[in-house]
Amino acid sequence: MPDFQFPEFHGLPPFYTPQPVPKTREQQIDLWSSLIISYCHHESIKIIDIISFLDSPVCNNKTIERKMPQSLLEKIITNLKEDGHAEWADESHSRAYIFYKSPAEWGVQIMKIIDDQGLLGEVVPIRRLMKLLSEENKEFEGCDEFIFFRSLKELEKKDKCFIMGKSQGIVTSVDEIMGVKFKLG
Amino acid sequence: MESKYFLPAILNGGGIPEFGKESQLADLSCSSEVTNGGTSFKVRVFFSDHNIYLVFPDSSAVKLPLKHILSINDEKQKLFTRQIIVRYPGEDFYFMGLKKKESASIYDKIFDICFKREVKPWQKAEREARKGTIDKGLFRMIEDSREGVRELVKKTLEQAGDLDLLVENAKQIKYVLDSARKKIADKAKESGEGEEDEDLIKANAFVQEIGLVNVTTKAQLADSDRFYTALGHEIFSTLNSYIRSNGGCVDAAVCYGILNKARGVMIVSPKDFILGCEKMKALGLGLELATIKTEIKDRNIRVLQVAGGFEKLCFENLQKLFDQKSGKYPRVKVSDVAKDLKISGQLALYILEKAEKSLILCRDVSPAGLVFYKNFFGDFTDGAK
Repeated sequence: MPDFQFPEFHGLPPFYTPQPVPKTREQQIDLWSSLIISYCHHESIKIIDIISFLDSPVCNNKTIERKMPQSLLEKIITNLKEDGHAEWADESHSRAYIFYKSPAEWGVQIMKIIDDQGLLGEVVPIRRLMKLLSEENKEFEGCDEFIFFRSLKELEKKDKCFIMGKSQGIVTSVDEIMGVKFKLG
Repeated sequence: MESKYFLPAILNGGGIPEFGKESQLADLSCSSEVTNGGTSFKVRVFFSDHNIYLVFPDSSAVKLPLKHILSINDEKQKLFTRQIIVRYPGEDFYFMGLKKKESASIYDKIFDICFKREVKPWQKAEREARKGTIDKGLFRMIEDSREGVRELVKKTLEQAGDLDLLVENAKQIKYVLDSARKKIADKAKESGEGEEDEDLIKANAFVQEIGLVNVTTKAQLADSDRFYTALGHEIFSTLNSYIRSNGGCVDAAVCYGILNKARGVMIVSPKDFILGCEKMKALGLGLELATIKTEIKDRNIRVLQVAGGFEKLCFENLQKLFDQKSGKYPRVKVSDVAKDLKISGQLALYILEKAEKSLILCRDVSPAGLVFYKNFFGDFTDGAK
């Protein structure tokens, strides 16, 4: 796999200084958010440790001797979370999941494939569903189970499907899913 | 008690010490007029090492401690050989005329006793003048006083700040200059318009030079409104092009210095400058005095700026500054702006932050300091690059 190509702004020092003007700060965070998502996807990073990530090449540019401050990274994670592209992995906010696509975006992909396959209204066993999605869209091969599960929960929240667990009680992971019934309409 | 000099009984009472034979108490009973508040009395004068005693016809006496004397002026008068004006704090003064032939030596004796500690340089000059036939003019008096001030300041600095000494002698100088000012005014009245002697001209120039009073301008435009109107126009004509060529906004203190430098010896006070600027704004001439609030507490800046905001002009000047820099992403420091626009660092920072808030610039903070770049964030967000 070729090395990740950093964009031009990654080499500009102001990129690493939290900008005090709100409009400029908003643009700065948007640029960082896109960059972190792209980098994590390229490097297949699904979960980051905040402190360690600050020393990664994306946050620590040794060429221009600039390093992103922790406060800025936390603001970026918060921004990603609002867009559905990140989620704190613990209450202390020391680690975070980074989603290349948000659960909502994965959900759209899932419904499209299910619809194309004529499986609306059917109950699809979980392993068959996962295999089907990987075959129809290569992107699902790299989809973490955690994000896949979150995608299904997102669809369930929107009343697009119903997750059936292997046992009674709340389903908390893919392993506990027996099948998914995709609703018509 | 017998003594070399006559001692009225009253001097022996009331806490006044007795004097022995060796006392320096002198009887100046021939001299004898004391004027205070316009009323004249015949007195007998006695003095000791520490005090002058004035004994009035009704035998009441006044003790004048020598250490409190602010000044002794020597002026020739018609009726007296010598005249002593003794000034004390609180504006009271006593006027003693000496008639006797030996009055000169007695006067010197009084003088020496009064200033036993040290004779000031200007006092030496005065004494020399008294001894000779030189008529000490007004300007000479001021000149000697000024020389005395210089020596005093030098000595004060050498003594690591004997402010008490400075203050004590400053009173002397102030008295002389107050007298000079009064004499200038009196002489101007006497001589009429256009007639001024050389000494008066020099004295006038000196008084103006040290900023005591702006005699000519305020005297010519006695109406203060006319004065400030004229001053407002003068401020505008002197500073307009300078301010516009330096970012549209310049520290008020710098403007004040430029204005007074242009005026030469006829300087204006800071208060007059501010009032003149306010008049200038009221006249709608195009410049105004403004206060810029900074983020640093209690560190606001007063500036003279192009009326109606100077941002546009500032930003144009900033653009020129960036254009002069090489590289795809030039940057400027606060000091670059201050140097280029000839303004203070604080004002330069204010202008840069103003441009930053207007989305023209963005900042970079590093251990090397604060620098500003052109704001590129919008370009990348829009995908233009």
